[in-house]
Amino acid sequence: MNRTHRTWRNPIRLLITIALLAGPTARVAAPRAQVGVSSWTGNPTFPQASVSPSFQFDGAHARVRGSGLATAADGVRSGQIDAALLLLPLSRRALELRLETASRDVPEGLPLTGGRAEARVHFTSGRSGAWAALAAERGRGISDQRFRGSGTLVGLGVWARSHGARVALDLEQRGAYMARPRLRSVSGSDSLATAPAPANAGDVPLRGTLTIARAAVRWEGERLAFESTGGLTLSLVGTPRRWASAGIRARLTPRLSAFATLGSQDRSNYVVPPTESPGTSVGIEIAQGHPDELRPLVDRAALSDWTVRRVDSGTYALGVRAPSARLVEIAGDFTDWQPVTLERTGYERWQFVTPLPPGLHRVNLRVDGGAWCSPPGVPATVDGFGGNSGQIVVE
Amino acid sequence: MSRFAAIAGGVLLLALAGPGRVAGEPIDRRLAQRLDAPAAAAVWQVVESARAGGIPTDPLIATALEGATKRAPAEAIVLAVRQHAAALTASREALGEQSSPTEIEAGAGVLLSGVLADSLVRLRAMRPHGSLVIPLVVLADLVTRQVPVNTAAGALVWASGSGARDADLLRLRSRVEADIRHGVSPNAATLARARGLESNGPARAQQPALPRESAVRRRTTP
Repeated sequence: MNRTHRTWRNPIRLLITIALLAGPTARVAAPRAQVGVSSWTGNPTFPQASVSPSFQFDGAHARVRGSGLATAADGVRSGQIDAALLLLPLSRRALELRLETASRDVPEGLPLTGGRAEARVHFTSGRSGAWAALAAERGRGISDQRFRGSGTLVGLGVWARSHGARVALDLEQRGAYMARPRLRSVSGSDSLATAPAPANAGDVPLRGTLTIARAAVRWEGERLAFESTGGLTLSLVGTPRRWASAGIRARLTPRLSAFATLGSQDRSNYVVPPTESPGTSVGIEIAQGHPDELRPLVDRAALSDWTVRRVDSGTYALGVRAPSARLVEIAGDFTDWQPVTLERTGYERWQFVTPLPPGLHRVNLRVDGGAWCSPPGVPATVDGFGGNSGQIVVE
Repeated sequence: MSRFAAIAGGVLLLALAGPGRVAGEPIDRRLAQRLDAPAAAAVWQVVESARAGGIPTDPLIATALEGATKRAPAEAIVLAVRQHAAALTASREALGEQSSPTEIEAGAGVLLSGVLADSLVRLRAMRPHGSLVIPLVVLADLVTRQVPVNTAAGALVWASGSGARDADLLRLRSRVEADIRHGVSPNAATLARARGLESNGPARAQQPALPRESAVRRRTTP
């Protein structure tokens, strides 16, 4: 019990620090929870129920998110919190600072915690971009023995999006400090296990540098989302390991989705299934919004389908479609040009209800902290400051 | 007692003669909160002049607040407000004293886009009694989308003269926007869509002609 408390204390402390730092810009919350049943091949204790809660706070240029996993039968609990802050957000070369911490607790095993700080430079050009990163890592576990990252860790990546699809290719070097639950290990699929398991521990400690090549594709439509990730993990302490997974999500209501995943996952962090063997999961997800996990912080959602709907006499609902947007803001003469965050009314739609007296109104939108622009499809005019504003006529 | 009266009188004199004393109303609270003091004072001076001249002042304050939101330099904000005030004045002169504040504001947007006041006069002549808000909004939008000024103004004057309704003009605008998005040049898109109105809409004997593509090209090519 004490050990568990100690294990989770550092991530919570870091979360509080990050939340205080990112608080002023964290304006949209996206809590999520997945409840499902998972089954891994070749293990007699499965299938078993699992719960995976997560949250995400999105700001104009910052993001804080956390996720966890708890399984019913074997009591594995793991959690991860990461925060990102974008500097020079309107530049084509934006700098992103990332902090990440993770913790893992296994009954009769040994708790693990780890942290990573990363600086990432983005080069963006419309619908595509590239990034390069330098990172430092630190981990702790196994009888409080301390580990430091072995030198500088690096990463490179490219991404592109078009017509609701996104493709990303990453090459990343990470420190690996993991524990494999010995009781649930499956021979043949765990190529990283080279050390014999200690007689008095449930986990096999592994420490080394992993080189991970990863390809991911994601497509998102009105009601369906599909994502597939595959890659190759190279390590000095084991043979190369190939892994691939695919998942599909069907939105049943704006906040309720059914999901199914199949395949094995990358063990690049601590939020991992109890085994590296291929598995399947099915379940229900309750979410306020569905953030695009593949989307870099520097990439902004596209706006479409602007609507002005009369709610009652003198009051109108201004709406816009912005799939996967983290934050949509509006400013106009009717807000005294003070930015107001739109309310997310589903996965794709954002809305702002406001009184609009008859006359000509000027309005601008801003998505994910980008530049102010006219709403899509709305007549525009110059604003006198090098941009333009949309014009709405209320009769 | 006489000493107290002297001090009180001095304070009163200082209060009346001090720099905070202005002839008109106090500076709008929103301007004072969002702009630095010199910029707020300069903008407020323009607003008071506009009010004295019977020009709508809300658009001027909105322009200043818009500039503050977009983090424009104070000098740029004051300049934009002055230009807007001048455009409102010119718009009212071009559209006529009986024009509604919304028309005057829409006309100012057109003038700030680079259209000459003469086009507003011609538009008013085509619609002497009807509202010009939608034609003006559409005209400003076309120019903002890089349609040459003469083509845009000619198309709107022609369409208004041919009896096109507001809904037709809004449809013309959205089709031009779509054409431009698909790679058609703004000039060609406007001319083609305006000709579409010509083939569908009622013709009037005295309506002006659409600008020809070659003539437009001559005028817009340096």
